[in-house]
Amino acid sequence: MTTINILEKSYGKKTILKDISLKLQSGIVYGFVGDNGAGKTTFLRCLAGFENFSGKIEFDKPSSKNHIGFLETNPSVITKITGWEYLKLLCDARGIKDEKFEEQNIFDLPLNEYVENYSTGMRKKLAFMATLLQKNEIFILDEPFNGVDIQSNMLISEIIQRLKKQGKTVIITSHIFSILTECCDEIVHISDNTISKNISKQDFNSFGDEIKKSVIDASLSKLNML
Amino acid sequence: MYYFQLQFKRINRTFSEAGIPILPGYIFTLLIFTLFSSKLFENFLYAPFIYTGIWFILVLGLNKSNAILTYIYPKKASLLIRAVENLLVSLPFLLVLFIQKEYLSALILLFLFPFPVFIPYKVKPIRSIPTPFKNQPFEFTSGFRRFLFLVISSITLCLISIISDNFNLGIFSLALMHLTCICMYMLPENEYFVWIYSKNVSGFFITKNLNGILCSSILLAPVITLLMFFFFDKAIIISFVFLLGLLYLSTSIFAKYSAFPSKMSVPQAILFWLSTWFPFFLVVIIPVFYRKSKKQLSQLLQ
Repeated sequence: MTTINILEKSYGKKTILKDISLKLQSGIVYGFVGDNGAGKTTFLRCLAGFENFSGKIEFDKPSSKNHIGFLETNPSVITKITGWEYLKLLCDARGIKDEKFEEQNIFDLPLNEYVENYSTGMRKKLAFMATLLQKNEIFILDEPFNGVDIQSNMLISEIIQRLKKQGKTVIITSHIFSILTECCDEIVHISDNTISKNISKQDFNSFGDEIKKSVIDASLSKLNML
Repeated sequence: MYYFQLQFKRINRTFSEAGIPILPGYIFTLLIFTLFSSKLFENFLYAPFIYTGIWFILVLGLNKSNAILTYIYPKKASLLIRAVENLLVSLPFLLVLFIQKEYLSALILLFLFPFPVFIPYKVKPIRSIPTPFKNQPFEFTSGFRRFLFLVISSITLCLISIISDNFNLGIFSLALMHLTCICMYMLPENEYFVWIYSKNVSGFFITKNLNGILCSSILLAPVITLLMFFFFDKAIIISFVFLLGLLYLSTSIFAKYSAFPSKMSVPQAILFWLSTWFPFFLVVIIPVFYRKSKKQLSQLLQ
C-alpha cells in the first residue's frame, strides 16, 4: 500500500496541490480526473519522485521508487537512438538484463528505426512497453490512451486489467470518461488543487451524470448557436 | 522583416535569461569570437580550412533549424529569408577572413552561403547508422551518430599526421577525438532519463564516468595506437594528452549535471572554458561541479 499524507506542492506563490491525502492499494486501478491544469500531472510527478513537495509519501518497500513505471503524457526521447536502444537503456537503468525486445514487441513497432521518427502514438506505445519490460510494481500512466490507435487502446486496456490481476498498482489519468469507467476501480477527482471526491465503481454512472449536468449544460448555455 | 525582428528578440531573450545585460552580452560575444578567430589563425597552419569548416557546420545547423519557414512563407520568400539569414551569420566570418587576407576562403564562403537553403530536411532516415555503442547508455550511441563526421575527421587527420610526419597534427587529431567525446555530454537529457536509474547520486556518477571513460577509450583506441606506433619517442606526451582528455570528459559530466535539468549557465561555461586554458584549475573546478551536481540530482536519485 502507498500512503500519501497531506501532500502539498507550490511553484513560488502559486499553489498547485494542497492537502492531498490518499491510500493506494495493490491490485487496484485508480483513475485521476480533473480540469486541464488541475494538478493531475504534478501529483503524478510528485508521486514518482520528480518533484519535491511538503507532506509525506510512504511506500511498502524502502526502494519503491525503483519499481515505479512512469509513462509521460508526451514521452521524452533522445535523438539518434533506435527503439531497441531506447528499451535497452530503460531496462539497463533498472538492472533488467533483457534484450529479446523483438519477441516481446506487442505493438509491432519498428525497433530498428530512430525514436525521433516515431509518431506521437508510437512513442507512447514504446514508452509503455518499456515500463512493462522493467517489471515494475507501480504503474503511473499519464494519459496512456491519448494519440494511440484503437487496436492499441484495446491492448493497453487489457494489459492494465492483467496488471491489476497480478496485484500491481495502476494509476492512470484520462480525459475520456468511458475509458476511466471501463478500466478503473476507483476515480479520484481533483479540483481546486485538491481531492474533491473519491468515487467507487458503483457510483461511476451518477458521477458521469453529475459532470454532464454541471459542466456541459452550464457551459453550452453560454453559446447561443447550440 | 518581422522574422528578423523576432530573431533579434530571441537573441536578446537568451541573454536576459542567462542573466547577462543585452549590450554587454553582444560585446562579450564579439570579444569571444574575435579572440577565438585570432588564436585559430595564430596557432594553426590550416586555419582557413578549419574556419571555413566551422562556418559551414554553423550554417548547415541554422538551415536545419529554420527549415520550418518553408511551411510558413511562400517558397521563394522562405528561400530568400534563409539566404539573407545565412549571409548575416556569414558576415563576421567574412570580415575575419578579409582581415587575415584569406581572400580565396572568403570567396568560397561568399559563393557557398546560399546553397544550404536548397538542402531538403524533410527526409527522415529509415536506416539507423550502426554503432559500436549499441549496448551502452545513450550518450555514445546517439553521440557517435551525431558526430560521426568528427570521428572520421579525427582519424583522417591522424593518418595525415603519420604520412606527413607531423606530430602536432597527430596530437590535434587526438584532442579533436577527445572534444568529440566531450561534445556528447554537452546538452542535458530530459530528467526522465536520469530518474529511471535505480541508483543513488554517487552510484549514478560512478556509472556515468566509467561508461564515459570506457566508451571514449574505444573511440580513441585507433588514434592512440597509430600515434604510439609511429611516434613512439613521444609516448609520454601522447599518454599525458590521453589522460588529460579523460579528466576533461569527467569534468564535462559533472559540469553538465551541475546545471541539470537546464543547460550550463554562462558562469559555469566560463569556468569550464577557463579550465581548458589552465588545466591545473581542474583541481578546484571538479569538486565545485561535483558538489553542485550532487545537489541538482538529489531529488531525482534518492
